[in-house]
Amino acid sequence: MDEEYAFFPGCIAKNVYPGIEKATRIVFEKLEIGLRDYEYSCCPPPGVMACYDKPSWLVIGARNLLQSEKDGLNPMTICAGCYGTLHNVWYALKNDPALMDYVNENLSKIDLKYEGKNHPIHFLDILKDHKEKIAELKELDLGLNVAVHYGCHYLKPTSVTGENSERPTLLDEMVELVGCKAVPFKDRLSCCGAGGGVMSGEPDVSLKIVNTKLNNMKAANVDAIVDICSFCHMQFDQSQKKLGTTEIPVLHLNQLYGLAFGIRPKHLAMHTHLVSTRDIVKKVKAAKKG
Amino acid sequence: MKDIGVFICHCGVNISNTVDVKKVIEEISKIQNVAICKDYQYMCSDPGQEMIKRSIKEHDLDAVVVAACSPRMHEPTFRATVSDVGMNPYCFEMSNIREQCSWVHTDKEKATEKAIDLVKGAVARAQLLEPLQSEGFPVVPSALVIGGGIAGIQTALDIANSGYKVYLVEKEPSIGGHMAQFDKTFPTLDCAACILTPKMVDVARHPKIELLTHSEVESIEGSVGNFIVNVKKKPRYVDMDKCTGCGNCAVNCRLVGKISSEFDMGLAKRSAIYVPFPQAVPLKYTIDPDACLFLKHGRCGKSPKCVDVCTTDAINFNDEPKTIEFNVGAIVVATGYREFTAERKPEFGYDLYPNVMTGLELERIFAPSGPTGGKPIINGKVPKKIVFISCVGSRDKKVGHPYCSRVCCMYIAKQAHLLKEKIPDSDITVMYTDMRSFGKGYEEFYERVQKEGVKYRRGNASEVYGNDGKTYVRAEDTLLGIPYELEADLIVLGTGLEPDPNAGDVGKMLHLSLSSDGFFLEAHPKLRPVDTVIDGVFLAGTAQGPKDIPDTVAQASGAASHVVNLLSKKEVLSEPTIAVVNEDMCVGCKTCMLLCPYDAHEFDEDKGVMKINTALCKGCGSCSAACPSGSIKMNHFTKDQIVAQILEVL
Repeated sequence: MDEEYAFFPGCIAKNVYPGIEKATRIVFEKLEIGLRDYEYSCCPPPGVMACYDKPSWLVIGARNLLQSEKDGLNPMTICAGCYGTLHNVWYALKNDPALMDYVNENLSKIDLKYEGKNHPIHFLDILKDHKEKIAELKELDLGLNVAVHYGCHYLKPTSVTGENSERPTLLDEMVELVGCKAVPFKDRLSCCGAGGGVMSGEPDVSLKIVNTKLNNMKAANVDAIVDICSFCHMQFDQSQKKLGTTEIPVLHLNQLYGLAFGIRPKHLAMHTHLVSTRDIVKKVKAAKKG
Repeated sequence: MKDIGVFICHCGVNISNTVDVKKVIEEISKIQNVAICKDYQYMCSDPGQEMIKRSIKEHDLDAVVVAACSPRMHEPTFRATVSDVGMNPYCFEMSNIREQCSWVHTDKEKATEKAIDLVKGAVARAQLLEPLQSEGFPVVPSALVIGGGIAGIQTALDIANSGYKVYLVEKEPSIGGHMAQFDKTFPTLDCAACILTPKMVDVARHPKIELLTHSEVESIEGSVGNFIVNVKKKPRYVDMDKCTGCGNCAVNCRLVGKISSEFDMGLAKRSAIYVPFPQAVPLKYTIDPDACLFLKHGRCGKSPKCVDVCTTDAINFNDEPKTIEFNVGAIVVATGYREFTAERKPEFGYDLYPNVMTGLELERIFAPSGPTGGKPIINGKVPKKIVFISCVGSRDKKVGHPYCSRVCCMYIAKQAHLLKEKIPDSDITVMYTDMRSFGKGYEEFYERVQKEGVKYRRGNASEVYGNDGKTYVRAEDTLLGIPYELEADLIVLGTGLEPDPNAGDVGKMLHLSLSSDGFFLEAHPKLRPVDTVIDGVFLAGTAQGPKDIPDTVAQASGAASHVVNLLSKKEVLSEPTIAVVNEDMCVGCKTCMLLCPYDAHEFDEDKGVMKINTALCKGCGSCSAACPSGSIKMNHFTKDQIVAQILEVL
């Protein structure tokens, strides 16, 4: 394979939502993009860890980054949180030789060294260069009205990510490739409420934020939420059970692509979600027949 | 060996509090070539200067060192002092023991030691100083003003009224600039056109002003006192001498009402042959070559209607660009600004929602000659719920504009007032960052607008979004600490000012520096706000930075007075602190030529050596430092002088 990445699955996909990891492996195999596995630890989270102990966050982040450096592979994340950490660590070290020295001083204790030669990438930024192939692989037009959720750390800070955080369009375009429509809804760019340690530290606040967001999605009458971040994915899925008010199925973009490529929903572990994906599965089956 | 006099200033207590002046005198007096060393409370005062003069005469001094403040402050003062008694001013050396010593240190002992070293260095340099002579150049008694907005208009009138010839160059078909687009001006609510158009007419009628509209400066060469300017007159396709401005051509043009009017911010349509606005000066029609059917396709019906109806036979489709050359002694850059591009703030949906408009667009809605005849109609409706968003493109690092645009708070207040006047039952909210109503009568006006019922809520808007055909603005009220949202029929973006990219070419021609905000850099932010570091080139108006009309006019008059100062001299003296080429050593490698930021190097093909244009050289020293053969000497900053100084300080 010409194109290959180091696959950084992140803790949530690995431990809570195996469907995200599975779907990613299937989709990338179909796209003929190689994924190589490494001995990764937790990223660690950009909100919780970086705010409390930035030096350790940098060192652990660098240890993850360096795994694939010798092989010349860029680490690919499927979670905006992991992306936030790896990308921000990489950016900080690249632009501050003193920080790089500090990190390597600590890494030398375990005989490791990071040189900043590779750089992390979010899977959405890989897929955007394979739009034609995705359209080619598509077996069904899913015909779903979806609420897309970008994930704050994918977009911000713009000085580091270079993204247009006020009116992003890439994910909207990517769901359209498989016959879905990104429905506009109020405050579509607001936070899911999970990040920054809010989910663990202030669970009530976190639920309040996600409830507002879910209600705005509901008002727009969407069939599903499509995310590009395992952490946001967990927040949307678990919170709905806790709130008991809404029932909007939650899909990671790679699960959505898996469905469009004709993969069986069970193989995408969609049955492991807390919010039932049955309605989606029904619609997909109907689309298959039609 | 020279006889050198050294004078140490206390600067009140500014120096003597941190530096032991007595100790400095003691040490410096020990130096062999120091003939006299004295101190004084204020060396720059009359008695201080007298003391220096007396000492020069008494001790027959060859050079003088004053240890005091920065040379930027008083070097000119003391140069004048020594030349009063016949010493060459370049035999004077200043040692800065205030800004670079007493002000930045607290340890008196160490500061004294440093002051001694600094003065020793200055003495060592003074020993090697050479007398230099300034050269005189004749001054061409005329000026070029680039830009025909209110800044350029005022500058041109002031210079011309002093009796000097002015060339006023404007790239648009009419002068007037942005001010002509405004309806009323804050805080007095004068009608902009009523106060501007008389000035425009004065410009056109003035015997000393040559008005070059629809023209662009193509090149500028030469230097202070004698700039050689080339101006390209773009083709109007209308004979200026024959056109009477009757407007029959525009009414009958096949494209009447089809071409977007730049002057009306695209809110109204014009013909392919047009004047930007009814009061245009000169009132001569221009054909837009990008629109005109005849110019684009070679035919326009059976025959062009403009030609058919023109009674004076003024249409000339064969018109071509003409370049004219003239010489001027001084140049004023009054190239103005550009309104911030609202699309760069996608969260405000300027390109998505037709009821989101910019401040300048709303000005055209208000204007009696504008697209709605002055009626407050937006997309066919009279808006009732109106929101103003301030600081759009100002005080915003994200778009690279950390600066305040200085006019938006007040133009928003004015526009809110005008809307309230025209639509009394409207509900108007201004979302502001901070209110900056700093000018004369501004705060009072702001209060008046509040009393008229306009609501001011602190905290900027975050987003404009549409839903079911309605538009909402979301914001945070930072006084109440709550997020809120308002429905609005009209959303006005308080767009700020940014540098006009078209001015970049003029800047390059004149080697002007830009400040970090991208506007042209003045020579000194406080004391030389209309000068540039290029002699003979001055700034007026928003080309130098955002400012309102009163400030623009004040600066324009300031620039004009500096021009008149310069033109009233028969000749200008050049600084002799410039680079000199040793022709015997120069190998003609041209390294220096590539480095010179002022184009002062001219290669002498016959001799194969470099020559330096003494009028253009600013003495920056780049060439001297880079010359591989060491054949360029910097007058007053020779290698020997600098090395001697460094060795003493170390």
